[in-house]
Amino acid sequence: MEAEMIDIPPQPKEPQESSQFLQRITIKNPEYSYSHLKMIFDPPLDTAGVVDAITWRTTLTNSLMQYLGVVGSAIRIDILHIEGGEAVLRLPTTDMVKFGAAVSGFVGTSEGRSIGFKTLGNSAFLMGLIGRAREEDIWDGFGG
Amino acid sequence: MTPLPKCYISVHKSPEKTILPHPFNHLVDLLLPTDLYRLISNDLGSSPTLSKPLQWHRLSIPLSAIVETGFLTKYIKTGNVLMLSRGRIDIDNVFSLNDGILRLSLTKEAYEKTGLTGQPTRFGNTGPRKKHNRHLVEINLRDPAMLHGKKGFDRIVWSFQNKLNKKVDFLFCDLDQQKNHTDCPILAALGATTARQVQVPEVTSSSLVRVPSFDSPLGSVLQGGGTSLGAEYNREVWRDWAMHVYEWLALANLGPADRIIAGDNIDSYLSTYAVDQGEYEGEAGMGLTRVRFRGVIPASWILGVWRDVEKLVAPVSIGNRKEWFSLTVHGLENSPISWDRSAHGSMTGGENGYTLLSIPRKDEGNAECVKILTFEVVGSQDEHS
Repeated sequence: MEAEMIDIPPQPKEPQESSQFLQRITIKNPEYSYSHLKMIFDPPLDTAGVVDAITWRTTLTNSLMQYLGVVGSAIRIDILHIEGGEAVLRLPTTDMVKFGAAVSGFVGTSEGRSIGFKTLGNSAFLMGLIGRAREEDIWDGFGG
Repeated sequence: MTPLPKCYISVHKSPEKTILPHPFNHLVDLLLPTDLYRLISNDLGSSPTLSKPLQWHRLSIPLSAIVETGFLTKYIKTGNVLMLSRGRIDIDNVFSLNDGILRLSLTKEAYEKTGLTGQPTRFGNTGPRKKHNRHLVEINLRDPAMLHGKKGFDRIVWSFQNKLNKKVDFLFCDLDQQKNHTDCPILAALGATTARQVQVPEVTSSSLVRVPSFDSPLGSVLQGGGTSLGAEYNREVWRDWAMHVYEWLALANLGPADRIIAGDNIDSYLSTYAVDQGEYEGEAGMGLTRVRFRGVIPASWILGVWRDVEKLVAPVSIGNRKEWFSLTVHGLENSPISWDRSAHGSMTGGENGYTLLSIPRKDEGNAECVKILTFEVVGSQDEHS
């Protein structure tokens, strides 16, 4: 998935998908990867409150700054979904390793609490994260 | 750099070829427009697949219980069951059973103790000196030689009774339960007290969300066209479109995610994600319904659900147009196999699952037909191709 500039070629007149034959491609290097994180506070938040997008963004920027300096803060992160203290993030696949290292080693402070991240899952495909997040339930409460 | 997972995207692949070979599933999400769901929900509830109860159990038993005559005859020789033990596939001893084949994925220590013959596993053997740390023992329990009194079989029973004799947590699903659904004394004796139901779904309807275009951009192609720059561009456009649709389906299955809700206007500092909206519902958005099934879900049952929905949706058209729907299945991360006999590992992520998307479109004669797009995702350690 290179981001080269290519002249747009003339469009063929008819779509070429008329055949009913099996066609298949493999995606090995997707442009984006996804990360499912939980923000951990110590001592815990009194209210079981939602951590808002701005807090996520600033805390993530802090952690990337701490570990990688200005280069780290330039990593583009899209906050796709927030649920309670958890968030689903999208970032370029090439920055995934750096990002993972930065968030796992981060300890910050805010209003007398220390903040850290717990990585609940990383995947190059968002669909992969959904299955992983839900799998524990099936094993929980054995013998019940 | 760790190896990355892969995604296979196919067009015109028949659904049964994707669904049936994938035995260990724990989550099935059916996603469709709420308007469509309202029309078919009653019929769906009474459809052949969903109207019958489907149960699964949790058992805490030693391996030797599987080879006891009663269990062996009822559930393996004449019946068919699905079993998977708890544990991490690259670290612990993991046992699975499907179609009569018992797979033992063993650590070096356990393998040497049991004295059964196996092969080094495909994954989980990548130590610094490439030593064989894990082994896979495959036993076909339906083999005619697998009977009490036969030497080879008694050897297996001995190692189960004396070496691998700890109690293990198993997930258990009887694939023939429609035939013999009365409470089974064998299971009761093994302590399977509560049966859990699969067929009762968790239905969530969302507020309006933005929906992407399900028509691939004009001129873009999946394959072919040669090596010219223009053809490469057309393929690139198709790939980007398909990945966008796939990403969107995942976001919709998330609940739906904040970013695809119609009224969402987040600052680009926080997120630059945007749905490439098509002619579908325009700016107003569309309500979505997710029907979620959980448990140990047999592949044939999933195919049944797909067929039922297909049949119910076929005659329906809303506002002169046929509707789309999608089915996503997530496999258990720590099963020794994903599809068929493909070995499966889980070092950095054991995702193995697939999404089927049925899109209506007009063919050349302008008649309505359906195109099925299949997305199959496997983690970095998986032989499936």
